[in-house]
Amino acid sequence: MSSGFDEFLAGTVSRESANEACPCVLGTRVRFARNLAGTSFPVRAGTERKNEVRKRIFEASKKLPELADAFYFSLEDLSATRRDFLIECRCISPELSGDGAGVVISRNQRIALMVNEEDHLRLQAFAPGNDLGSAWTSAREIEKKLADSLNFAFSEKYGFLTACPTNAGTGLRISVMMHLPGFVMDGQMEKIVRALDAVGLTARGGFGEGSDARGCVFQISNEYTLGISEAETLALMRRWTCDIAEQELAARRRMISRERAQFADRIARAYGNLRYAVSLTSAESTELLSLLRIACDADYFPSGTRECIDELWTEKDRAHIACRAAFRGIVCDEERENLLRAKLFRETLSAVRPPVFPDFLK
Amino acid sequence: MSEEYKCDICGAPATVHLTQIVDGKIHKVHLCEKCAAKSKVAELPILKFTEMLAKTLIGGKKDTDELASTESVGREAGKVCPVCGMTDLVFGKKHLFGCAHCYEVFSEEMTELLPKIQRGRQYRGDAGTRTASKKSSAKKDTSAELERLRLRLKDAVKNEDYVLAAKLRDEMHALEKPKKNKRVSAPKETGKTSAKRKSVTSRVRKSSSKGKKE
Repeated sequence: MSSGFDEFLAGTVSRESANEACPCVLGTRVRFARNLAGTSFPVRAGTERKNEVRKRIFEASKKLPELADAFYFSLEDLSATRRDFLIECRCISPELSGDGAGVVISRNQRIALMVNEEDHLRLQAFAPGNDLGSAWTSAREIEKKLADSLNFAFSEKYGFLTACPTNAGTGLRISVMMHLPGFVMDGQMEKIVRALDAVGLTARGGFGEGSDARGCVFQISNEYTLGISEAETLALMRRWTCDIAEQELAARRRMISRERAQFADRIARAYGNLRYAVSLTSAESTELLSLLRIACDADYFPSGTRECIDELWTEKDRAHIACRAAFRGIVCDEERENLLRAKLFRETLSAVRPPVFPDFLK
Repeated sequence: MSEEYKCDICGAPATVHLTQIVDGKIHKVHLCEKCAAKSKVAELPILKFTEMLAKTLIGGKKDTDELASTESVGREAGKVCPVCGMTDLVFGKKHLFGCAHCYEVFSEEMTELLPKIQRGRQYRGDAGTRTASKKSSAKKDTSAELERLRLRLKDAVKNEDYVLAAKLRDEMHALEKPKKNKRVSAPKETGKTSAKRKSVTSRVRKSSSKGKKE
């Protein structure tokens, strides 16, 4: 057991890389929403009661071998920047804050339990790429073990009872983080969103409900939790995320073949800016990095570059820059943050050779 | 969680966000994909459109903002959850339950809401076996819980806290004869749902003894 944020920070330096086989997917998350029986949900609970719930959930999870040496954080003890760091890691949602809120993060960062968000417990398991199976298995296992020591609110009609009726039932939400620049550039995203809705899926911005889709990153997840079983949800997500990935790649191929020279030009400029810029904002680097990721998938960069880009994808975020700087004793204002970000890109991309294009004049 | 991102009509996550400026005032409307599609967002002026949607989809009930304002004025809520104090006015606006017992208290609202936000009305997950063993143990606690409530009621009357006393009275009624208790829950109930309700109440009963502190 530990609650040292610095130790956690040091452990996040080298992350697992994404699955080579699935170029459009950044990561997968399986989440269960649960509440303790007999205690008001966080929305109607005072600090004292929330603290009590947090204590119970923390104690229950300390009994599990998977979480015995995990990091336990109380949100009121974390500075705003550290909280943002956890949001950027996707360990917590932007909604998790305030007195009584907490989070448990496993050493390998594959498991994160949010306490007193909208529900008492939001149990999340993560996997790189579109490895739905492994995220599902580990989430399921932890959920079952926790259910042994925690009595979850449950009714036979509505299943697991949650604060928002959109989560009641299985409480299961499977999200796949997808990078869909092909659809966006093709102006097809609106159509895709509507099609997803028709099959019972929703598309949101990269940081969940209400966030924007910067860098063409979308979170695709199942919409329904009641009247559908866990196995059906899993099958639904498997089927459609594969379909979407296929369609996205087709859209990219169409775009590249249609405007080959222009596309190559944009990629070369993106590489140039990121490789040599002195000051980079978060928004600019996201847009440019999105282009480099497409270029990787189109084989303009040597293999292994995508892993490097995916690491930058999280490391470039505001709180990541600030926390890493603070770790080395540097105080970070906005200007310095942009300078540090550019330095990070210069250093990382110096190991990546420039993109190679065919000769368009021929 | 901020309610701004919930659909103004059905409470599902909003994906369509509209902003309109009328006479220098900003009006924001948040909708889910379905409600937006149903009402052809782009073709209608927003203000009119919210009213219309509220009428057609909620069945003539007042628009949610209006509901909220009546609450702040102090008009009494129609239904109050005896366990957590959630009112139908707040539930109508936020679409958030305050505790497990709310599912019973607002079962009417839930029945209305479900077709818009969920695929079905009945839980179909694989946790059925898990609960069967827990149900019987929950029933035993009824008399102890009633005794506890009786004591609290006595205290409340002594302290002249009649709002709390009324809540406790309703709670005791609910424990004694769950089927006849129509003051708190939905007026029409089929035998089917009340059978389900038992399992929820038994859980609430069992554990509200732990909730004294609040």
